[in-house]
Amino acid sequence: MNRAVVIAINILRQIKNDRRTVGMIVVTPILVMVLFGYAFAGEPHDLQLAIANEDVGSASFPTLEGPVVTLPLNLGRIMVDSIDGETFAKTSTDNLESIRQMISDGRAWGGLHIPSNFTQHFITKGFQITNQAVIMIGGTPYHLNLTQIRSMPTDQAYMATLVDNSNTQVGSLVQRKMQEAFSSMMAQLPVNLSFSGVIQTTFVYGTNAKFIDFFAPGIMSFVITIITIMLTIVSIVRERTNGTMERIFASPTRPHEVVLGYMIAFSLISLVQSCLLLGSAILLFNMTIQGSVLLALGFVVLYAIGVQGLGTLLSTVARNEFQAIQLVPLVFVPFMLLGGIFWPIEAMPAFIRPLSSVIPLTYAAEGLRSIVIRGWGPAEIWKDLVALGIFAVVMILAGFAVTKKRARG
Amino acid sequence: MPDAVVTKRLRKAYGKVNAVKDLDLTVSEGEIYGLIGPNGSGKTTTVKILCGLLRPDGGEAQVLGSPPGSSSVRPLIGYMPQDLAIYLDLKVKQNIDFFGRLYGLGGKKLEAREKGLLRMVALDGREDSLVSTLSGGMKHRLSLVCAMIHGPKLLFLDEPTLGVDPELRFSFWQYLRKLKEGGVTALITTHYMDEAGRCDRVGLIREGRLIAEGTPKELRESAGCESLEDAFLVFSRSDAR
Repeated sequence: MNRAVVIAINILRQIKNDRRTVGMIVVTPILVMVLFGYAFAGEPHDLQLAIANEDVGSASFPTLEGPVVTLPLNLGRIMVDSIDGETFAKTSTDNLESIRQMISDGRAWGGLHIPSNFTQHFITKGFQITNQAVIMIGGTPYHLNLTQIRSMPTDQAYMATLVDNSNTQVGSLVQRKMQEAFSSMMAQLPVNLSFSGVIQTTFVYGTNAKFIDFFAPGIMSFVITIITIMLTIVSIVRERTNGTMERIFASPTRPHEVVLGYMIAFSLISLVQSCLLLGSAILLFNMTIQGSVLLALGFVVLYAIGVQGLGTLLSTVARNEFQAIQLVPLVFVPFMLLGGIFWPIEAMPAFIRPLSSVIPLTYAAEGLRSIVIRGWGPAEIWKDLVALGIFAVVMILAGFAVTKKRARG
Repeated sequence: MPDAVVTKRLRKAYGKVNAVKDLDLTVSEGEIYGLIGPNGSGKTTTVKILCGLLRPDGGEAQVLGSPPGSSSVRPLIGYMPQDLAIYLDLKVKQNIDFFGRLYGLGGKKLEAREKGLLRMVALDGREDSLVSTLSGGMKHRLSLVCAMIHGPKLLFLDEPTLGVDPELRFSFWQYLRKLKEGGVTALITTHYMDEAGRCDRVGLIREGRLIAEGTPKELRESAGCESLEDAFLVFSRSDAR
């Protein structure tokens, strides 16, 4: 027993003398808990929703008494007002086509179109279905002329909801919130009407998307991140500790050749991994790729180049392979929780979202998702391409700088 | 004979610790020069500066007539670090190929050199062995081959026999003699005094400074001692005063 205590004390002493390890032991759990707490804190909010409310409002009906009775209503406005203002950032637009365009361009997650005669047609349809004969307006009963009402048009009794289902969680949320707003609108009707199928949903992207479709591109980017960073750090630290790096630097090899050599090797490894990941997602989970497979692979390799540079930078912090392994969670945790792999970035509190925008995995996962589910090409994912391009260039230059410093003492 | 290595008032400090302090050193072409001193005396730092791996804080250094680390010098030097500095997960031949190709060697020329060197260090027939399966002595010999594959004019060998058994050390010195016959200059660091006796000239280094220099015989005579070890102690005590 005494020897066990001696061994334990010896281990604790070693850790105590290794400041980096102590730092990791203290920082990692706090970081994990804080990020988990915030990243998985709630429902997505501030989702961009394009709304084209063309409803002119009011509905008039013939009565058996003679005069036409008019309901001073604008159901379109009631519907729009009933949409959850926390979940959605509402943007007004002109018509159904502009909504479709906004979603196609990635400027909105969803859209709602209410036709110009919605109020009139909707209530007409309601009366036709329910055969309601009497309505009360201002305490006065009016007997509806159902014979005439049955011949009135109802083709605009429907609202169109357009959804970007490339993120299945967000897609489901948009549909659910539209139904909630519709129920709220119905509750405010002065007449008792009840029928379903008013909201007609169309998926602009991800018509048959499954959770795996949303999940797979993120996981793919994440696996590339972890494996590339880990292999790069361990390889460089091992080369440094066993002296081979020094021997390379004593040869005519220039620092940029070392950086490029590492880049080529890990890009190839990433390419193989991407093929395996895509292949298994397609074969095992029936994932469908809407866009170009070559673009997806090229995109991942671009990301891997940047990640490899990040690994080179981090390798300067680690003195040995043990410390190198400990660095991995420091990258792993924020990338996993803030990169939008499992949970939409829109679900994170506003103050934590800027962190997501500086994590390259966010752009890798989003870009790859756009290629796989939306079928987007380079022109549409240019923002993600530019972000990853900048990341790669900065990391290569930084990697070159630290390698040069190491090479020439 | 022209000088292969010249340093003048060479200085390098790590924080407040002076690793190399005003070191004046001259190694002539074609000689085996031993830089002898205790652990921490500045031997490795000096070698690293001469290989262009560390920037000195002051003073001058010339290697084969050019500043250390310059592009004209790098192809002409061979470096065997204190650690084995070979890839344990690669085969013998793959290690040699890799270091050879860093120096622009390839094809039949590389193959011919590889064969010759492996024969010289008695590793022929082990080309396809994984390095991790080799004995410690074999790894040492492979490390030496990797430093010599490109046919350097000047070899920097940093404690090449550290932890090596006497038989292997004997063989190692035989290889080194063969290289010298081929016109190779070698600067070798060691703290084994018996090895110092095998060098053409020896520099005794203490706290980053050269405290004595000469042939082993000259040093023994100058100190009035029979062994080089005793001579080193005499010079050290005299320097400490």
